[in-house]
Amino acid sequence: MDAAIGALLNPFSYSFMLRALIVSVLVGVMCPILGAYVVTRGLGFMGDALAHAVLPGMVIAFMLGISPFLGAVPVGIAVAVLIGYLSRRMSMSEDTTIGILFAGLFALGLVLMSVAKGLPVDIEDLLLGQVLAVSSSDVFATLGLAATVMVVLYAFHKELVFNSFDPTGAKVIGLPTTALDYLLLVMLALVIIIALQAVGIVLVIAMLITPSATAFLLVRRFPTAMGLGALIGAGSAVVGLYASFYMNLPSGPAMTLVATAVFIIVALARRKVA
Amino acid sequence: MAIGEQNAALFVEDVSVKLGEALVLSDITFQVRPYSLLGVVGPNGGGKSTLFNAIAGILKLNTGRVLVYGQPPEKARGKIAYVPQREDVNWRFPLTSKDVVSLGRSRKIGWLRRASKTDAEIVQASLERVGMWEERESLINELSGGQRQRVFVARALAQEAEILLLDEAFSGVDVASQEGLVTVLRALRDDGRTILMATHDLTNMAERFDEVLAINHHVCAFGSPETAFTPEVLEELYGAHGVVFGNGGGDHS
Amino acid sequence: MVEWRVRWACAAMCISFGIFVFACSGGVTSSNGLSSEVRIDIVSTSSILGDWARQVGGDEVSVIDLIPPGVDPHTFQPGARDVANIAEADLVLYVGLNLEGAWLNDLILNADVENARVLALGPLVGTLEAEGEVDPHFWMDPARAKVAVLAIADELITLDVEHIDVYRGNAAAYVEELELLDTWSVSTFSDLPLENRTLVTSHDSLGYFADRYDFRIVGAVIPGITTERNPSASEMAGLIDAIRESQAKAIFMEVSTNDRMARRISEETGVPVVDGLKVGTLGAVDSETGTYVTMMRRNVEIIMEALN
Repeated sequence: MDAAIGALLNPFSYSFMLRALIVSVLVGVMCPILGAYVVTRGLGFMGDALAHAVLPGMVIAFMLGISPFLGAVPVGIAVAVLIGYLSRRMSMSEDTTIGILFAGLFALGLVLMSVAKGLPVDIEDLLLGQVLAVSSSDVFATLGLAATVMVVLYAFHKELVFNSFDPTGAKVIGLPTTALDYLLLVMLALVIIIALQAVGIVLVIAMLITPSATAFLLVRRFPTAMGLGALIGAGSAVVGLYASFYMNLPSGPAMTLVATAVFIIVALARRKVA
Repeated sequence: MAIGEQNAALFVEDVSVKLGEALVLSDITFQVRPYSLLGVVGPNGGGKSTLFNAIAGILKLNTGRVLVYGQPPEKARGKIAYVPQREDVNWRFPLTSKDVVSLGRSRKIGWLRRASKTDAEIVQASLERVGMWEERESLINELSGGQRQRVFVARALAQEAEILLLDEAFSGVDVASQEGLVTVLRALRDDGRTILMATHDLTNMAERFDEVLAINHHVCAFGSPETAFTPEVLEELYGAHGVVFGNGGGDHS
Repeated sequence: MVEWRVRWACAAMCISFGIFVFACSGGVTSSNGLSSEVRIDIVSTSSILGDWARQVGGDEVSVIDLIPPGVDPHTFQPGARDVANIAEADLVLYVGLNLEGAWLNDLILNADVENARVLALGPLVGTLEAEGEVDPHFWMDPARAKVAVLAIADELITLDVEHIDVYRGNAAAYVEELELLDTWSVSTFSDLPLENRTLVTSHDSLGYFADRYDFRIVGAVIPGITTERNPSASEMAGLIDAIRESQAKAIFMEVSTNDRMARRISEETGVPVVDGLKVGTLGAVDSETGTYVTMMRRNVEIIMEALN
């Protein structure tokens, strides 16, 4: 028994693990909460695009010597608004507009990285996440962002839901639907930036979608799915972190695999019952 | 019998609407009395939805004006309720009937505040009014077409709207449910509301509606169902075929 | 109307493209290090090998270093011009032993080097192991550097037997310099007690250095001989424990690597991060670490300062 408790607590005698835990749990909680909107409104591609599009912002932050996290925030917000604006204005499909922007900005980031030779930025960290390297100020920044997003989503819950379900009806009743769309995109950008620390550009989409999709397999209502998704996400984050510690695995992919495994188990279990 | 600006529930004068370069509606003039149930008929693409969007205040007018109880729609927001077409709603969004009706309270509750017990009571009353209280925990996309329409009407009630705009409320709804819906709407009309319903189904116009408005890019006819559907009007709306199918579905008077 | 806009757009694009091509071609001819005089054109993968080649070859060679100063050789990404340079080279020098990674083999294949001679210096020296693999960082030991330098001289003689005396002379002089460097290093470190001779590095790059000068490698932030992998949580925990246990006094970071992890470990153990070591690459040509010898000297000074 003691050994079991020891095994649970031992990793967190290291302060880097404690910080990793806090950030990972925040990621595991926030992603599915926003993920509920992503899954029901088909924002998956948009989320993937935002994750890629903040790369130039992070590279420039490195070049200026500030935390890449901070660099990503203004760029993320700007890109979210830009994508929202352009996909309204262009007559091409939203897919196309988003695709062009995301690929272009990502390529710009890669070029910036090679031009600024000798920059101590590890592309692998950006692509796959490196939660073990978060500093205390990163943790505080993450807490701040997460709190902001939570407050906003709570405060504007009924309006955001109305706009997601029936945008025409929302407009008629007097809700500012355009502003609400932008608000959701900006919140999505902030959550993605938080998640980049832990799972990187490539795997953000997984944390946005998988725990939330699992929740929707189990419960019916929207707010309930948000809560259950957060629980599943946080659980995946913690288990993934333990796996990373004891099984010597990279933490971002470990978290994602746990979330995916949970989804598969739930999906299979449902089929057997039904 | 024309009604004045201030007396009409809905006052539409000289309205024309452009979508892009195309003039979708022109010369639209009519007035609707309070306490009435108006059927808006016309072919698909003829401008019914556009007219509703204009009345609801979410589409810019090219010319003319719209007054809802004496005020332009932008100033009368809470009073107008819109029950949209199938395509405009994200049915994948997981809400129960009760959730959907609660959305109607958004404006009354206001920004940053939560629903109170009164709001919950109003939601319940609205659902009972349309006979959907039993289905309050069913997901909206598990309901039949007719049931969904009733939930949306309940939402309009919860909103405490005075004018309801129903766009193609009968599409995808079986005849029995249609009758049920009409019964509910007539009760609401008697209660003091004004209801406009767009439909391209001409059967039972007389039994269903107090007045009809026939639209095919302009006003083809406006008046009581019996007088509105002359063969000329029907031809204008639907071409030569229209003449055969009009007038109460086989009931040749 | 629309047609007018289309024509204007096409014209603008053609003009821009033309300017672009003109600018690129201008760049190629003016900064091409490979001259048209009769010199041996050498391409080396790192500035260290390039320095050796220049020392031995003198005026008879023209050397291009593929990897610019300050860039990590493990994660270097070559561009199209690099392929062109290799294609026109008479001699390609590289370390081998998996230091350069697959990109070099692909590059050589791509550049179609039948006419060039290709020389891997790593396999020629006696190698050590790190983490179960052959450690390629042999140049951190001046004695092994000597072996490589002599091999370069032999290669140049094969290519250009006319100037055999030049190459032998330069090589001998440079070998003497290397021996002086070695002696100086040993004497500098003689003041450093054995228990202070602990090295914590950014990755396992100082194996040969430690072997030569009696240092103990406590661990590396990125375990292993390449910087391409990231440490796992347990590896990080292991390093923190090892640092505390060994009472190491500094964590040495190379200039070209990502130092976020090192700073976290430093915060947690209280051991300071020391910047400035150069291992995989020299400093800029006119800087104080622009040659192999000056680079090694500076490394010794930094280490001495931190651990004494």
